[in-house]
Amino acid sequence: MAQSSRTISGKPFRVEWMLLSPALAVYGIIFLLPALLLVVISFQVNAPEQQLWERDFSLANYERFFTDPYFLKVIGKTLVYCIVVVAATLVVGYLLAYYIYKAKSYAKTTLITLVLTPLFSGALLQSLGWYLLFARYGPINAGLRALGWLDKPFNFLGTDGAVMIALVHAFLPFMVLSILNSLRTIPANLSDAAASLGAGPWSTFLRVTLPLTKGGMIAGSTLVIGLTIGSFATPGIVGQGKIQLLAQIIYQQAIQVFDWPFAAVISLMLLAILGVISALPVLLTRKSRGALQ
Amino acid sequence: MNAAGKALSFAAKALYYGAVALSFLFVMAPSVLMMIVAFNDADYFSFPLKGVSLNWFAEMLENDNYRGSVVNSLKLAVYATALSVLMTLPASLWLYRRTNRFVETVLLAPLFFPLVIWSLGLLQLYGMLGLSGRFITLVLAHAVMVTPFILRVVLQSLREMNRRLEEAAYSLGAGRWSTFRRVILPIIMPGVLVGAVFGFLISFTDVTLTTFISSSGSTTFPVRVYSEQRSEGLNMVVLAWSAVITFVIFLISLLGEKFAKWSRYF
Repeated sequence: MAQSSRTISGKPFRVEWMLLSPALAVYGIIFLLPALLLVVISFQVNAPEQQLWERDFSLANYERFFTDPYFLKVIGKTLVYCIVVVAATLVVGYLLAYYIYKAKSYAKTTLITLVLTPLFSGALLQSLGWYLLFARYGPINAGLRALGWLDKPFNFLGTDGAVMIALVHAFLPFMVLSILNSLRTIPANLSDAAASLGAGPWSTFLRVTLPLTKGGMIAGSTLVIGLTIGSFATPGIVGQGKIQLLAQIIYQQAIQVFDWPFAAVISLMLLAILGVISALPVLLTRKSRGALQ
Repeated sequence: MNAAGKALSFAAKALYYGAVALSFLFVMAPSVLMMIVAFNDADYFSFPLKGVSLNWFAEMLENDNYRGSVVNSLKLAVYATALSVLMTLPASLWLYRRTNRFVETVLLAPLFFPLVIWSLGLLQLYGMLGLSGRFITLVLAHAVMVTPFILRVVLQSLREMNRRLEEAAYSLGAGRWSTFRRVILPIIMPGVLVGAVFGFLISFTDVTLTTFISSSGSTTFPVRVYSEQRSEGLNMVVLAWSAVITFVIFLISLLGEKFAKWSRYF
């Protein structure tokens, strides 16, 4: 490694740090500072007319959060959404990823594009699509009435079901790509080996393919949970203000009620929940590994 | 295999292909519907269509309000992506040379950090600094938001690069800068481009971050449509714009997958 040591450590220390410093400086001001500010503000009284350093400190915001059943209910509701959305994206996402993985290469490009388009067109355009689909005079109502399952137009907008479906749709591409990329790392001859040892296609899938994509499923689920907890535009448009998830409440407290300290408390609680959930797979795999040894 | 087994395996196959077809229909439904209804020959949303016309696409170009917000979105996405590439390139070189998990995690953190929370903090920071509503505040925030996407692709291109080429350049007497400009940069250029397109699309379509920190005057297309939709509903000009943008994004996704196989970067 004589060559690489010359290119790496042979350079003056200062030049190396100059490469990193623009990104670190911007991150420090734009990303880390706002997060720290939230922590400080969450312990202050709501006094917008005063400067940050003039305000009194108090624990009242936290007390309010934990004693008001409304906010605990919103957390519960957001977690239920997470469970439903993760379960649905796992099932549908695995199906799509597996089909794409097995598809011929020319079809593969088109199929992946179909999955990528909703991902790249973002929350707004896709939820406008769902808004139209679910509208009183939209295609879903038209179809259900043609089948005779509905007598008069039903407004699906603002129902939990509609918001959940739109969220599953919004985050499905992340799950498909996570699983697809972990399927791609499986050596091709592995399933042949399983078949030659007498495993049928179903048991090859259950005992070889599925366990090898556990990493992709965990990564995808963690991503989807984070996205669901923070989802903002989709519940806004498809939920029509009737569905309040955590992100919606934060916006309402900050922009409409101007209670920034309380919005900060909700944000930090959301972050805490997310931290616990993301740590779970790490803790669980560690435990199961320990059990094996 | 006996007859019952054959029937069972046929049923299983039918179930599998049926489920796959339904799932793809589910994935495509909102985009396809949006592209269809923009051709409606009526001044409101209706399904089935009242007739087919191109009126709304003509109207879309004449309406200054929406066109202005689309231009704002484009400008913001271009500036933010350019700024992000400028800070990501050197940072990824640093990370490529000395693998540092901590720095890498910090730089990728905005990807996993809920946007709402970060936006709330930014809103307060900008308020304190007296910068609220300025265009530069949006550019800086969007640049950080898209950086993880660009960093991942660029870093992966660097790590896939043949290290000997760089070493050969040094041993032939090339300096640091000329090695970067004439050897490393051309090799990772496809990755930089893919990252930049990722970043551009993420910035162009953002609602959450922009809703919190933009002023009503210089807002972007998605935020404008979001806030209007909540108060007055949808109009056909918005649907025409949405259809065009969705179609362009479909084309970009197709080209990116065909020529750069960019789905593997996720």
